[in-house]
Amino acid sequence: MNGKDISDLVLKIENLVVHYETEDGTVEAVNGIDLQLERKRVLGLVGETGAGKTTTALAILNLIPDPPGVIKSGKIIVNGKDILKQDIKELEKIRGKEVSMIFQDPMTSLNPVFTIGEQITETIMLHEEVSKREAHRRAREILELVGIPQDRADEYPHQFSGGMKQRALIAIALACRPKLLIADEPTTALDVTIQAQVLEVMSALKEKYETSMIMITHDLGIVAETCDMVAVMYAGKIVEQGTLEDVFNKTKHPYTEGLFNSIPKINDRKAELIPIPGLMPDPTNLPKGCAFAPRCSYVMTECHERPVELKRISDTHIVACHAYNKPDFHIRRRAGER
Amino acid sequence: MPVIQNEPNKIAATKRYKKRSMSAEVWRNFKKSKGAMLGIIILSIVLSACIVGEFIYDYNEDIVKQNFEERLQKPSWMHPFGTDQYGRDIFARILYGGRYSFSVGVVAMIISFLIGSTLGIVAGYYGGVIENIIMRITDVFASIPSVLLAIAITAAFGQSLLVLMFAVGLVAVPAFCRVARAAVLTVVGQEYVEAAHAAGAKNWQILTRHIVPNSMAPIIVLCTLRVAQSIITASGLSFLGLGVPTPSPEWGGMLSDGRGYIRDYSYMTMFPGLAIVITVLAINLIGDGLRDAMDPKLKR
Amino acid sequence: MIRYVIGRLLMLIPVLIAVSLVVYFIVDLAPGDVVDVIAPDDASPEDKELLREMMGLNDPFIVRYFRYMQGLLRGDLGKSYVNNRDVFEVYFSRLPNTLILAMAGIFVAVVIAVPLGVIGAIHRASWKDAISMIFGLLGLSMPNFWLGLLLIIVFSLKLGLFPSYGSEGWSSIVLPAITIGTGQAALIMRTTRSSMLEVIRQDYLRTARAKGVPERTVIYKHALRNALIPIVTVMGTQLGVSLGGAVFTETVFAWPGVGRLVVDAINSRDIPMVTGCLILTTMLASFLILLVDIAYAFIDPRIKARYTK
Repeated sequence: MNGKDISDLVLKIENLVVHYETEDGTVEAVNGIDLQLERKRVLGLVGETGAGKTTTALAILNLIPDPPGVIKSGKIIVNGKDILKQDIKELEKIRGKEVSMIFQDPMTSLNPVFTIGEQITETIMLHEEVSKREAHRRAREILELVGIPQDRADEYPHQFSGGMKQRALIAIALACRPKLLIADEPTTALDVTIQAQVLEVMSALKEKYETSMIMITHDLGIVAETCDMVAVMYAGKIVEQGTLEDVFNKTKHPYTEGLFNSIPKINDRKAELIPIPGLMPDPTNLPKGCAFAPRCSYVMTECHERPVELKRISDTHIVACHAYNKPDFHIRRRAGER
Repeated sequence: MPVIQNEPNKIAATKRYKKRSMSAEVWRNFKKSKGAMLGIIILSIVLSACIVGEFIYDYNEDIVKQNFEERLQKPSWMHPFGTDQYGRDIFARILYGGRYSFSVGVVAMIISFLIGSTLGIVAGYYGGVIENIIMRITDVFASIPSVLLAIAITAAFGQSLLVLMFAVGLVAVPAFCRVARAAVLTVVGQEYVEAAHAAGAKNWQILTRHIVPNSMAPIIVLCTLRVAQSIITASGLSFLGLGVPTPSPEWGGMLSDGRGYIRDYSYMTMFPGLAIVITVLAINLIGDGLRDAMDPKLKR
Repeated sequence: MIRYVIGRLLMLIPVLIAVSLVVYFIVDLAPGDVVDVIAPDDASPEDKELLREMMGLNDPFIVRYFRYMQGLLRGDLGKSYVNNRDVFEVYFSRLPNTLILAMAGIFVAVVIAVPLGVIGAIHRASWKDAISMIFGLLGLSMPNFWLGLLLIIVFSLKLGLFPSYGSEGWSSIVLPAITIGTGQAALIMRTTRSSMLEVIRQDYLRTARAKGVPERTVIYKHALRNALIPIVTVMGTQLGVSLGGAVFTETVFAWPGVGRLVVDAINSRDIPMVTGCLILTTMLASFLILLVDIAYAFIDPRIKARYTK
């Protein structure tokens, strides 16, 4: 990660802060995060509902609903372009062409009154100088690639099953071979058996088009299968970040540990699940110290008082936890335990 | 066993709490609506002016007695809204005429509310053949343009205040029927209704305790809006000469009188029309405020 | 699709029968009949009764209704008591005027209402929204016979821009069309606004934006197309309503349409004319409402699917 040529970076986020200013108070959704993503790599963005994952993703497209959303500060560079400084015309060129996004709920993410083919064709027509016929031909082609027979291009979304809708959305997102694909919990709304198929289609196309990807999920299994890098988010901040190996096998942050403890283990099905006690803090009223402190089993007085910074553990691995100021600190989870 | 005995009390307690907090929530939202508050203020002013008019004017002396020496006088201190072609004070006639508009508006609404929402609730709750029959009949009445239906009724039964109320009320029955049925349908599917069925409650108990209270919101909104609409329709029929018979000072009828003098005495058409618009606007403002307050979906 | 349309048209027949039955029944309750009008003043009650018997007026209601509907199929709805003209003929000579007015009115309404409603929805709670809401409330609260009179006072008597009555030339339709269109515009605008508010937070608009669709296209293509069903419903019912509601506008502007015809007929107790006008207009309105229903299938593929399967 260090010392890599800047031109190899598809995405660079610096100190991003996003708030939602509502009548009932300011929701501090994203509170200063930094992220980098290299070409052809897959970054897993992990965390509970409300951790700020989707907000981060929308910010990359500059699609935060405004009002109430406000990007307070930060820099988002995609392919060398500062997203937050582009005018709307430029943004429209970037969206769908350089950065695409797949949303969580395929059932509601397709426009019910246009055919699947029309919706893919529209993306191609927007970004490439091709005739309508050509665009339509390509739309059918890519539909085939995601595993949907070409002749179903003239059908409407209500005629598709959930898994097929998500494939169609993948086709829309990848129609113009974007440099970066953001997948926001793409399989959460699908049956388990369909999940694997959809992930497979997505991975195959990503390889084919040499697309980098951000995989947003709360499912650590999906992360293990698809990602190279992992960033764990909690209350709008990144608490731990590293390679898949770093985060999964050399877990440092107590919150990451809690996530692992609360999922069943495949090779030790009798092991007790240990849920993380308590709930995420109220995002309109975050504690001034570490946001995880109220739920943390290693908590010290310091944690409640001082905000916590990211500390570098190794070349690739960083963690935000006061406990690592003590040289001999380690969490209970044994390395490599899964 | 003590646990089970406790259960009903607990449910009752939570239900009471929820109910109170819901109407409190509606009231809280309603108070925040500037439009609705403006509507209430305007309506109270118009209403109290009309009530005062009831007491200070005598029907035979001030409202219908012709006085040719004072005919067609422009607005002045003596006659703030001027006088009509028979020398009658327009201001007095408008205040007195409020009784027709308000009574027709409210009574017509009550007629359509009683018939329409009863049919709608029955249709929505019982479903099946009953629903089909009720809704098909509703469709037939709804496809007759309401003004024509009202005209036909007044033509058949002659001109009187009672016929007018009935005619204007009847045309809104389909609207109430449809809204009530739709509201009931959303409530019938709820878990607490199924729970009540499972607990062995009788149909009428479920209807009165669960269905009716929980489907009232859209019906109440429709009631307000219908009062406004009924006032317009009633004055329209009077304007056509089919409503309240002359010389009663109905606002629509006064407008119709003014038409003949529109070139030189346009105030004769201005003031009765303004009376209608202001009254109807105030009621519509209240209706809109109620709707917004009761519809949490749009409160964002 | 053709089968769907034919199917819907066939379903209209029972509605038309029911509607005409209701209207015939109501008008039949009216006191007085043709005998009172045509019998000489010195005719005795016995003579009148005999005449009634001969004309079939004493037959049971359902027999008379059946006879009337047979006449309707032959295009014979009797003659006016007042001027002895053929009801069917008079009605259809007046109908084009009302249809023109209704079309012009709905055109005015849509041109004003749809953009206003869309703007209100996307700028919710801003001053633009406030302006469109105030317009909507005023339009809804203003009786159109009064609006018509106001327009006459301002544009015809004071400014002399348009004629205040009649149906000669294009300029004579301007004020009536605005009059009839404003009230409808208010309804269509409010429907557009609430329907758009519903659609505007749907996920598929986010999908459209994420693929780079310009905001204007997102609103006027992706969103509006989805918001159209309730809007078209209101337009359709308004078109039906304006056949009847045109009564006021036609009265104010002395526009020679069927609305005016009904009012004149009622005022002169011309029963055959009243019955004919009401039944024909109601049937026409039902037919228009059906056309709108069919139009849904072209707007929303889900509705088409429900009927073709």
